[in-house]
Amino acid sequence: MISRRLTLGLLAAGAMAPAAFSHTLYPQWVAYRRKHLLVGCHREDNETFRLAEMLVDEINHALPKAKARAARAPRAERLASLIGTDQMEVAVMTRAEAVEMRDGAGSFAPYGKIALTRLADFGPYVLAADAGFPIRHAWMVTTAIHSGGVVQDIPKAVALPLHPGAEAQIAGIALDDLPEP
Amino acid sequence: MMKRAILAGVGLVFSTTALADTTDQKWMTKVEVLKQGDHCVDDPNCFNRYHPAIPPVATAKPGDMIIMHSRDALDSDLTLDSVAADVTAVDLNLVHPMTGPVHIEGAKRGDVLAVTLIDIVPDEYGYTVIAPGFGFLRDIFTEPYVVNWRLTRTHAESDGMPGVKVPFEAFLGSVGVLPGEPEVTAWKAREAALGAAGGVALPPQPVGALPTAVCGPDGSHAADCLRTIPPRENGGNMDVQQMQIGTTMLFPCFIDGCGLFVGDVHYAQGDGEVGGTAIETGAVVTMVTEIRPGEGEFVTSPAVEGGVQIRNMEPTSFYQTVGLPLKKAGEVPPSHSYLDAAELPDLTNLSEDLTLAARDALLKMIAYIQREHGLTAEQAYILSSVAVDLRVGQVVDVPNYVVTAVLNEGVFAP
Repeated sequence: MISRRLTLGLLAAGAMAPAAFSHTLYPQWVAYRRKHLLVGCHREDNETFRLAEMLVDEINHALPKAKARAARAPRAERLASLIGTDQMEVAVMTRAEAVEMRDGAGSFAPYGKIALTRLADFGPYVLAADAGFPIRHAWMVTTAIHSGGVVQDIPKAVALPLHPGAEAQIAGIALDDLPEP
Repeated sequence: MMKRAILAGVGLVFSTTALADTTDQKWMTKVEVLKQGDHCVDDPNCFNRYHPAIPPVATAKPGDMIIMHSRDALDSDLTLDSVAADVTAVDLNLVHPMTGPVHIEGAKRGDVLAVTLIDIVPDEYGYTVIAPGFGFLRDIFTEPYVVNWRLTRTHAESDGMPGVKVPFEAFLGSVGVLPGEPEVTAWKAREAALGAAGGVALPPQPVGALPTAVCGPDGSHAADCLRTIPPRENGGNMDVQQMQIGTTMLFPCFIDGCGLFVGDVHYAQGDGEVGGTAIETGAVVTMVTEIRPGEGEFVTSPAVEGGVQIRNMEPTSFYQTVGLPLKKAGEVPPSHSYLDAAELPDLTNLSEDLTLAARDALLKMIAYIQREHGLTAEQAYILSSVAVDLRVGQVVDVPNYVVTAVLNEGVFAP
């Protein structure tokens, strides 16, 4: 069970998305994406949807104020578009997709390089996060999904770097010892 | 012998008939604008911003049959098995993909372009969504929702709306002509002023804008390409369901050739489109045009000429709620939130306010549909968007102007 302090901390996590008014049409739409932690996934690989829904359940159980929601894009390239324009910060994808997205390679080339990290691993899949995802939020989300037992071992030596917040959580660093946003 | 001769004669008659088969007889001059690729970005015949510099993709003479293949409003990837999570990932920068523009030979700025809608052939799939932050009751319905419809030329059905058949009453959600340079300048200025006052105004947005060469981030007119959400004097996203097949729409022509475009077909929609979307679908649209020289002086914004279409759309049985400009103390509907009026929150009755009356009528209708027909609140909101008409009762009985909501009860017929 996550501490009361952590739960209160999600008051901030409820506003995870950065300002992105320049990228989207409706301010209200931005407000929705600020109110909810959107966990992206895509239809071309529906296992990402299953994982995203599972993670959403775990996050909402531990961190109800995150109001997490799965957001299923038609394809991985849309995730790159949403993350690259600050409309989304966290998404489930294969490790190969994440590496290509980070490098702006292959079908992700039109979206350029995206500073992508990972919060957790699920076999060939990762929960990827934009590098700008706040450290404390990353710590809390990583803690939440660890507490639910859905995360497998997190290998350190893969091409995609761990998010500093996830790294801190794995290293046993307390939330209070992390920098304030 | 005689019998054989008669049979041969019959055969000859049949043979002559075959040569004159009606399918072989042609009189129309057709100008067809096809879809290419999966999405607007892949399609040279598609654009999603308005500016006079957008080049025509075809030319037609008045009287030609103009056949336009259009895309759905969201340029979406939604499918018959889409779920709410798919709505959350929609990129709203892509609305609305328009087919065209078509240059009408002989039309000049100052003329009126009369566009008669000949036919709409819808796709087999359509959707209605609740997009968070959008729609008349966006403060109440805050979560994404989708109803996927199976479409025929008679009615729409959905597993997400059991027991409901919505009749085919298709029209063009968006249709119009390109603005001229003076219009772009004037409309940008007035919308910027509204935005500065806190109103909902949508400045040019080059991200996702098409055609890229004109409206994209490095486009020749990136800062001047108008968004397609608001309808304006050139038409566009009017969402007026009376513009049915058989009616003639009139548009003031702002550039030589007018620049006719269509898109955003609505298979069916209630007056108000309260949820923010109708039954949205792609379609094949057939139109014919006529130029009315010099009439732009009088027709300064769109108008419609019609006949029985407006009567044929009427429900054969209905339930009607009556809305008054009433609200709860402390409530500020999103439509009023930009007004800096200290008195507003505490008032429970506003004066001469059609928007609040419409909200009142709609809330009562949603409650009725839930109570009498067993649908959820979200289903009732969606149904209201596609089969409930908001109508002005009166605008004289101060302070309480009346807006009613009329449900076509026929949608529940077996």
